[in-house]
Amino acid sequence: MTKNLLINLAWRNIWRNKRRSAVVLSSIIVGVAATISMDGLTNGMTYQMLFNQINLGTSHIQIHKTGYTDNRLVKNFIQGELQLKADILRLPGVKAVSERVVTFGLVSSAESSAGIYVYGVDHKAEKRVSAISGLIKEGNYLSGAEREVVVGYELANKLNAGLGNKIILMANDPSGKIHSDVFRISGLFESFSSGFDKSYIFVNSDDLQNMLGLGNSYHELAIIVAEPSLAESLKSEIRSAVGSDFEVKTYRDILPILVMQIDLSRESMWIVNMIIGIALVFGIINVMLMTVIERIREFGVLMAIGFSTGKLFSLILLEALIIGLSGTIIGLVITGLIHIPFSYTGIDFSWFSEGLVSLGVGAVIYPVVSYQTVLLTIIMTPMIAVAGAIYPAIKAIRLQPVAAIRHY
Amino acid sequence: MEIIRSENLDKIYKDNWVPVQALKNINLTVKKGDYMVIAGPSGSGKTTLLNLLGALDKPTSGKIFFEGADISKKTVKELSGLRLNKLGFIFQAYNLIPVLSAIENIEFSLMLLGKPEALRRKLSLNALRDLGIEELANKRPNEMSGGQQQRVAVARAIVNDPSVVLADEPTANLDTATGSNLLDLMDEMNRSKNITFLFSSHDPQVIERARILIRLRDGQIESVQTK
Amino acid sequence: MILKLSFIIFFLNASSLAQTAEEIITKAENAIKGKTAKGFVSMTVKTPDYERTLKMENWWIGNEKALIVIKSPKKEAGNKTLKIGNEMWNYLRNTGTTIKIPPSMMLQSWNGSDFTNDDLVRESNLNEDYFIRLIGSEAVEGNNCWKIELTPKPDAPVVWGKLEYWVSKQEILPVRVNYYDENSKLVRHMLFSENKKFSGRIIPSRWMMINDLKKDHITSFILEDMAFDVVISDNIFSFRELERGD
Ligand SMILES: Nc1ncnc2c1ncn2[C@@H]1O[C@H](COP(=O)(O)OP(=O)(O)O)[C@@H](O)[C@H]1O
Ligand SMILES: [Mg+2]
Repeated sequence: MTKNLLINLAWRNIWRNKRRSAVVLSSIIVGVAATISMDGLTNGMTYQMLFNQINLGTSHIQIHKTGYTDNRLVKNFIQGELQLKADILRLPGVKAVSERVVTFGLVSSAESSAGIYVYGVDHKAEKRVSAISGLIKEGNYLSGAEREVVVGYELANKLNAGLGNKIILMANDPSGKIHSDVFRISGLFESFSSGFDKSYIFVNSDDLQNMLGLGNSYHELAIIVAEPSLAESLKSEIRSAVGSDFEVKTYRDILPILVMQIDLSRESMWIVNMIIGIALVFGIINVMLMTVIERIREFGVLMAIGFSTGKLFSLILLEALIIGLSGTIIGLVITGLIHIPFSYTGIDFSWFSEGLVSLGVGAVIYPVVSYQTVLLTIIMTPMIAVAGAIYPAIKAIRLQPVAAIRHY
Repeated sequence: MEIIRSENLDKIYKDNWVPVQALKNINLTVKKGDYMVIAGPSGSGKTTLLNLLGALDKPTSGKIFFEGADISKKTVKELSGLRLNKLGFIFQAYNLIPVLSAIENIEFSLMLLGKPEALRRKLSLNALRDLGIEELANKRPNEMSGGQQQRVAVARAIVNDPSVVLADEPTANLDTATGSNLLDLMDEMNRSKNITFLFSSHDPQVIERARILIRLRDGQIESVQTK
Repeated sequence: MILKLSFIIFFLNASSLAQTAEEIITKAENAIKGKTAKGFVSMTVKTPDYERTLKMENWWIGNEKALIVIKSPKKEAGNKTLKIGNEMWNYLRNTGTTIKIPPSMMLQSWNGSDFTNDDLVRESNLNEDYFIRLIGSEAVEGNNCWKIELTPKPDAPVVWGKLEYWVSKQEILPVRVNYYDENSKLVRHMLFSENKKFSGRIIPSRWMMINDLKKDHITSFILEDMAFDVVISDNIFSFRELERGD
């Protein structure tokens, strides 16, 4: 009972009714844990989606001939003689660049056929840009040997073709003539997205360039940068370097829906957090109101001996603040203890992974908690606790001391 | 020296279906060193009068002067300061803050006054000693008997050297012997330290010790006796 | 004894005519195609769910150019397909529009049949795409036939793992073709029957394509009137002709 009268008094009052304080405390802990875990999961999921898309080939920055995005025609190719790749590799922050021949085509086996996007890549460069080589489940990734093709399991099943089997690829050359060529399946991959596995195949760029008479031209330069956050600034740098003949786009431009989805899920998290907050406020109002009513006589005595209404108001808010702060800290510690191991091992949602896989997420989600959310929780939760105590505190100071004392 | 003076005090409680005239035309003066008892049957208006004089409530009409100043002109904050600085209260029961020990309860108002810690300790210990309850210093209210609690309440009421101590039926919840003991202590303090006491009671033990006895009946002063 | 006899006969046949497998295939293929051809053909598509018949008029110059005009049923009458090289256009009479068939539609069924657009377009030069080997003699539907195996050359853009081709020894006409995938599973087979004489030439008039993966999916062509090696004006294979209503 020395340093600060109010804090001391508030602290002791909290310990006075342990069960009630525990109820408030635990609801705050649950609120904190829920807010942060939800944030972790949603972020984890959306980042993973983005990460997967980037890894599956979107990369950080793509360069095309101007007009390619609107009209993905084979004839919108980039001349190999321009040596763009070498120029871009020189820029600081650029980690890897891959030249890709991209076209829409048709693959067929004896039994079935499917429309697909075919990527002709230099396997060495592409390995540094996309993760397909790491997703091979059977056979091998492209090695540079003639007529190799890597396809997804889903597509292979549809074609009823397996490792070593041939498939016929049919596609337009820049003049519109149809060419077909035979390829042999050298590897089967499985990504996180069934849609991707069904509709993308990979061949060596030489084979595709030969088939389509493209020489050493290609359609896409895929760039990986050291940090995704560098993408935007490098984009403008590259744009001024290559000129207006080329379109330079970051993954944000290429995946607007996904980026929007991420923003949207952020916003919807706000709503969820707000609901949690409102529930907390009402819980706290309820409990604090009970403690105030229970202590009316005591408040009367306090006021009679000269405790000002201001002090009484502060006392009640302080009690809520202490519970709010403790709940936040305990909640953070508990969430941290649960979250940190999961952020390494991931959480396996394979019991309903079908849905997640078709979303392009993958069955194991690695939660990612944003420091903004943690910061916000640290600031907001005690404030919410205090906000919940305001109404009961107003009730308390409205009491006339006499009325309070008379309250037997 | 005049401490409290009332002029034509009326108090009508209107919050009921039928308005209740609790006090009517009360004129009285409390002087320094008085040992005054307001006596009267239950419902005669004793508590109402004490609350008005202690600035805990406001009269319907009439005036109260505290050390010459009209208290109806004071703000809520000033009244709170007045109670803190100049008044000591002893209620019938539940006087103490449950989460504080005896000595902390006594120190409490000194703390609100911003007195330094060493002084607080000394004054509180003195007050406990004066009431012969030093051994209760670190006990919480729920560890004490009713009489012990009332003694702590007295100690708290006198510790900051108030102009007047208002005690509303302080012995009502005590047995005769304990009540008598408590009254003896206050009697002693009135005599040795010249502390002004204003009681309300219908306990004969209190009435017989009164040096000024005011009898109330139906909210009106029936008689004033000085012994 | 019988075995020995047939063996001798086979040898006699083979040696006396001194034909290679390549020559047999070329002869059989040329017999049913000719340098140029025109005529009326009806196509019947039969599935477990429906059966329908299209009648059409055709003009062919080898495998290089073709024009097909639907004559009936009424709903489709006037629709045309033009093929030049490996490109293909469809003319729809109802809307009066011509669409170029993109690669993505090449493997779609042509008019609901078991043939794809690609089957029509593809210059299936068997000699160029396959290794051809005579593997024996066999009787198929009462015809004494050569059995010839065609294995695709490694770089040939054909989906099949293997073809088996039966050619009647007497008329040197196709009798049956089996299409296998790479795992030697029979995917479909084609039967040629009901030999008839058209402009002095005897050829099978009924061609049946039987899907061996989907039960009861059969497409049959019946040649109603054909003329071979006639003069066909190049003008027929033009957009103007394609878009000319009847
Ligand atoms: N807050 C109140 N509201 C209404 N009536 C009251 C209130 N307080 C006291 N009274 C009435 O005023 C009268 C005097 O009461 P009180 O001062 O408590 O008397 P005493 O203390 O002498 O027993 C009684 O009739 C009582 O019912
Ligand atoms: Mg009373």
